[in-house]
Amino acid sequence: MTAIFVSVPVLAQQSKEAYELVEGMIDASKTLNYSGLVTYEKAGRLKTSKILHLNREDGTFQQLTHLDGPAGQFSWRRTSGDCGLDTTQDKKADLLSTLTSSGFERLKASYTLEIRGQSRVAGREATTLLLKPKDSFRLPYFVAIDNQSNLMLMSVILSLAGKPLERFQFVEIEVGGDLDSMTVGDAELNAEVSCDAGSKPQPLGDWTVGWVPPGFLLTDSEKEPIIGESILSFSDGLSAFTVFIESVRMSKKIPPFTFSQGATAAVSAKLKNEEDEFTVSVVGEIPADAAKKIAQSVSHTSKLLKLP
Amino acid sequence: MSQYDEYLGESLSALMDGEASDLDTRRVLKALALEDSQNAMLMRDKWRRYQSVSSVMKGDVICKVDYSVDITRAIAEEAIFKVNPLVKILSSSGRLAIAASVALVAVLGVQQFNLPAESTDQAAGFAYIDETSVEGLVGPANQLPAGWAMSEELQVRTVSADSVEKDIYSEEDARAYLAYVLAKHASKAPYVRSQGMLPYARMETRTTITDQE
Repeated sequence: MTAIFVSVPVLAQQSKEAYELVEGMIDASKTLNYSGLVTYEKAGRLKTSKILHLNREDGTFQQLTHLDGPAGQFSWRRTSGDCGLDTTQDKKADLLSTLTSSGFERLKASYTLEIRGQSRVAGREATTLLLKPKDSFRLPYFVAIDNQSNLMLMSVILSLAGKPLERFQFVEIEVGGDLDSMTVGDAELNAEVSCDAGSKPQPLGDWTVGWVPPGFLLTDSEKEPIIGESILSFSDGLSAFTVFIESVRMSKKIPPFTFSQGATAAVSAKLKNEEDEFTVSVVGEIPADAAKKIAQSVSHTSKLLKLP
Repeated sequence: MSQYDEYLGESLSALMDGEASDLDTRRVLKALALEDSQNAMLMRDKWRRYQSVSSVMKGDVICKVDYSVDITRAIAEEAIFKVNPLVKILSSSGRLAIAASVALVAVLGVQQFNLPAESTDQAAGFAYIDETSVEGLVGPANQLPAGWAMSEELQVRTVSADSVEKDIYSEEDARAYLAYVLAKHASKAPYVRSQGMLPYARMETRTTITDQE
């Protein structure tokens, strides 16, 4: 009996620490400037890249340079905050927010957080944390958070059975210092993500996703006017998946398939609406069964109206 | 008659007899490619004569109408259908630039979900290596990646029994589409801030999708 009385407050304390740790990690990624070398590993293959992340008043600049395989460098600048992700005051905040304060609440609703101990990553002392899903529709994460800066130094996505599926890890990281005053030229940019109207979620139009795992909310949607492709993105604050609904013309080219590699699953299924056949594809870091279930729940709004 | 013309005549004759080598065929085609040249016209006449003689010998009817010009024109006027719709998608919107430039070819590994339960602390170990992933490593870049499978049970649902059509899909389109959706997803996922740049790390360089055409 004594053990119970002792362990309950201890667990509560530990869980509180875990939450604070994750909140600190989110803050760190928004405020700190860092660069470093990372490894990304899946299915027996290792990829190395160099990362640069700068937070500036006018937005966030990110750059990724591949150090092996085909040469490539990609740069992004995200202006005006986070394209609605931080605008919790926005009318659409309930749809848009991901891992912001409200998104963090959702993360807590879908995962249990558990501190697993101390570790050393990229030459730095770090606390390891397990984010365990509360259902079988999302995957567990095992992360290491830098004790000094609160940045995430390692992230491993596990299968539901606990096998590592992919691992992202810093081998060397530099935080602050010269990076705080570094300037970035526009010429280096591959993509600019701004918060214009175009990046706000569009009406879903003719399609509705009937089922998504609890806790997942729509974070972005777009419709390609020329080819009629609808794209809907969902997140539970940690994991994300994207739903693609292809036009009839496009669908003729796409076979139904299932694909999984590392932690990413892709499922493409055919959907019949009257005489037309559409293709629904779901891609995300979620279990394949969940992706299938989501794909099968997509329907045309006209069908909903016909229901009694 | 020049030495070349002589060779050309021999090549044409060999082609007629079905005994032409690659060199013969190429020589004839090259000469015919210059449509209005005298050589080409001579060759066409000669070919027609050879065919007529052959027909007579076999006891077939001799056809005196030359369809070749009309056929050439018809082919030239035919609309080109072989345009990958993905290329259109990718070029149609500036916002898709990321997807276009970093088309993903994640060519490795198969994830398995029915694995025996083991401790999550294994996370410190290597990411799971599947036995079949080696095929992905050595396979040509233009084949579908390991982990890809046509799904039978999902093929057509809510379909009425009378209209089941078996479409024939090209592997090239399937591959391009898979690369497209993976890249597009990877470019969207970074909005989830907790993962920082992790989704970007999932992207792999591939000049453009059009290179695979």
